[in-house]
Amino acid sequence: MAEGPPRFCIFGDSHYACLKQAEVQGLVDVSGVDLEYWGHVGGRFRYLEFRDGAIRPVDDFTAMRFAKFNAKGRTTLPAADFDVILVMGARVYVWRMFLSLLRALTEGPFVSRGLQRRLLADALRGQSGYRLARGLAETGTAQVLLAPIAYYTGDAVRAATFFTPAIEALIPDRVPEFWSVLAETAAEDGIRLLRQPEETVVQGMFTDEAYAVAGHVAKKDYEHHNAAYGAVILSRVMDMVRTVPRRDPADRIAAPDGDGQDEAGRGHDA
Amino acid sequence: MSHPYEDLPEDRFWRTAVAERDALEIAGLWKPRHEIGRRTRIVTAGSCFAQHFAKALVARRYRWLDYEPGPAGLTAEQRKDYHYGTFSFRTGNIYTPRMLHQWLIWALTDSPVPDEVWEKDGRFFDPFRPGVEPGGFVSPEELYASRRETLAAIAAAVRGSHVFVFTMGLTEAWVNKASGVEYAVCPGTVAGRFDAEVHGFVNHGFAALMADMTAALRLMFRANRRLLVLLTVSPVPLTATASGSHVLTATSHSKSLLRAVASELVQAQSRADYFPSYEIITHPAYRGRFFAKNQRSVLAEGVEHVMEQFFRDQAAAFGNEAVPPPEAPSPAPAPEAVPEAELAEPELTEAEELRCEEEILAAFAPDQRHG
Repeated sequence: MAEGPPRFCIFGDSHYACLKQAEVQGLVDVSGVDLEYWGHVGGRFRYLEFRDGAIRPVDDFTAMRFAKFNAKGRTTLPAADFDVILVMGARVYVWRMFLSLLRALTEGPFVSRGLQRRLLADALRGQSGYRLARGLAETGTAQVLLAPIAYYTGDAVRAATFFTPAIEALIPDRVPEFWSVLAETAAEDGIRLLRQPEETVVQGMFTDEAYAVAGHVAKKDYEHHNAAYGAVILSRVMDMVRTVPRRDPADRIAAPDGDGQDEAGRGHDA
Repeated sequence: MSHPYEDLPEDRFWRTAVAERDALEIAGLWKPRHEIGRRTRIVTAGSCFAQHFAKALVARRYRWLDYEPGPAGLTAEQRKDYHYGTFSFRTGNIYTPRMLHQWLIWALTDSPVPDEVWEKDGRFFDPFRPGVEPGGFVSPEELYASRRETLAAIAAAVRGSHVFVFTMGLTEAWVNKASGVEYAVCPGTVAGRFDAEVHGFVNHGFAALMADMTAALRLMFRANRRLLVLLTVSPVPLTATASGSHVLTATSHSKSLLRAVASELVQAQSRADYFPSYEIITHPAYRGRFFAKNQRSVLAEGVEHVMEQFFRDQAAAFGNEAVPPPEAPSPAPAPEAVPEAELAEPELTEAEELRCEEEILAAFAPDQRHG
C-alpha cells in the first residue's frame, strides 16, 4: 500500500458533467481523494479503444479533445494510474434496452427468464462504453464502477406516450430484475454497477424533472441531468472511494464480491 | 418388346447409372411427385439433418417458414443458442415417428400434454425438448408457457404450409413405463434423472413405425387438406445404442426400418414423397466422401450436394430452371434482426452532440477547472 489519498478518476461522456457541476457547486464533499476527470462528448467515443492497459484515442484530434478537459492534460487513461475509476454514462444506455424487453414481454412472443437474462447481458456487453469499462477492469488494477446513463427526464404525460398500461404494470416487478441481471453481468466482468438511485426515478422508468438540466423542455434535452443528480451519484460513491487504499503500482485487486451491486446505496428496487 | 428391361432408360441400369459415372454425376435419384417452387410454403422438422434443408431453402430464397421465430431483434447467436430458427418450431430434434405423432396429438387435438418436468439444480427442463432452453426454465409454469407457444406454432405450421418436410432419425427411444409417453432423449443425459423403475427402452419395429407415421400423416392431412409431406431419413449414424447390438449394426437396423417405412408410406399416400438424401450421403457408390473423419458427421459439401440434387431433380421433373447454389455461405433463417446493442446504443444526432458539448463546457468552464 502506498502513502496518500486514493486516486479517483471519473471517466465519461457528457453525462459526467453533472458530477463536476456537483463538485463545483459544493453539493458533495470530495475531500480525501485525489480526483481527476477524463472525458468528452459521446460522439468521440467511437475514436477510443482499450489497449495495453489504457483507454486510448485512435487519433490525435480525439486525444487533444480529451486532454483539454483533464487537469493534467492526459491523452490516455491508464487504469493503473488510479485506485478507483467511475465510468459515468459513457454511452452505456439501459432505458431503450429495458423498454425493448418490456415491449417484448407484453407483446409476445414468449420470452423466458433465461433469454431475458441473455438479452440484457449481451446488450450491456455489446455497448462500446461498456467494453472500455471492461478493459479497465480486466487490468486488475483500479476498481471500476459503472453508472449507466440515467433514464430520460419525464413525467406522467411523457410516460403515457412510451408506456402502455401493460408495460406500466410490468415495470415494478421486472425493472428491478433487469438491474440485478446487469449488476451480475458487470460483476462477472469485474465491474461494480451502480443502479439509478430510487429517489431520482419517477413513473417507473423516467428521471424526475427535479434532476433535469435547466430549460430541458425548451432545449428538448431529456437526456442530461443537473448538478443535483451528479451529487446523488457522487455522494454514494465518495464514501466507498475514501476507504480504498492507495495502491502500490505493482499491486492488483481482487474481483468484486457478490453480485456487484451498489454497496454504497442500493437503487430504487432494493 | 422381348422383355420388360429392353427399353428402360439408362438410369435403371447400374452400369450406366452408377458404375460408369463419377459419383458426383449420378443424377435423377429422385422423381418428385409434387412441384416445390419458390412460392411453396415449406416447413421442416425432425432429426438434426432436417436443419440443413431449411438453411439450403433460405439460401436459395425459397419460402421456408419459421412459425416460432422468437422475440424480434435476436442476434443469430442468440437464436442458435435458444434453438429458434433451427426448425420451423422450437421442438428441437424430433428423432422418431412416435415423437412426431406425440407432438401432433398435443398440437392438433385436445389431448393434454403430460405435466412431467425434469428438474436439475433448481432449473426445469422439458422432457420432450430438453435442449431448447440453455440452463433450463426457472419454473414448471414458465416451461409450460413456453411449450404452449411451441404447440401453437406446430399447429399453425401444419395448417399454414404446403409442404411439411420430416426427417426420420431413430427407432430407439426411452419411454415412461406407466404412461407410455416417449421422451426426446434418455433421462439423465441432457437433463433429468434416470430411474430404471420408471423409464424403459424401446426400439420401435416396422409395424410400430408405420402405425405412428400413418397416424401422424392422418392428423396432418386432416388439419390441412392441401398439405404434402416430404420424408427423408437422416444419414447420420447413431451416437450410441441401448439395443445390445454393436452401434454399427444398430444403425443399419434403425435406418433400414426408417427407409422402408418411407417407401411404404409413399406407396400408400399420394400426398407423401421421399427424397433420397440418405442414399446420397451413405451409399457405397459415394465411398463415404461426404462423411467427416468420425464417419458420422456429414460434411458441408455433402449437404450441398444433397440439396443440389433436390433442386436439380425438381427442375428436371417440372421444367423449372435449376436453382444454382448460393455463392455466399447460407445465412441463418432469421427475420430482419437488429442487434440488441444497436438498439441500446443510439447514434447521436448533430443537435444531441451540440447539447453534449454544452453540458461539458458548462461544467468545465475555465474558471471551474481543477479536474
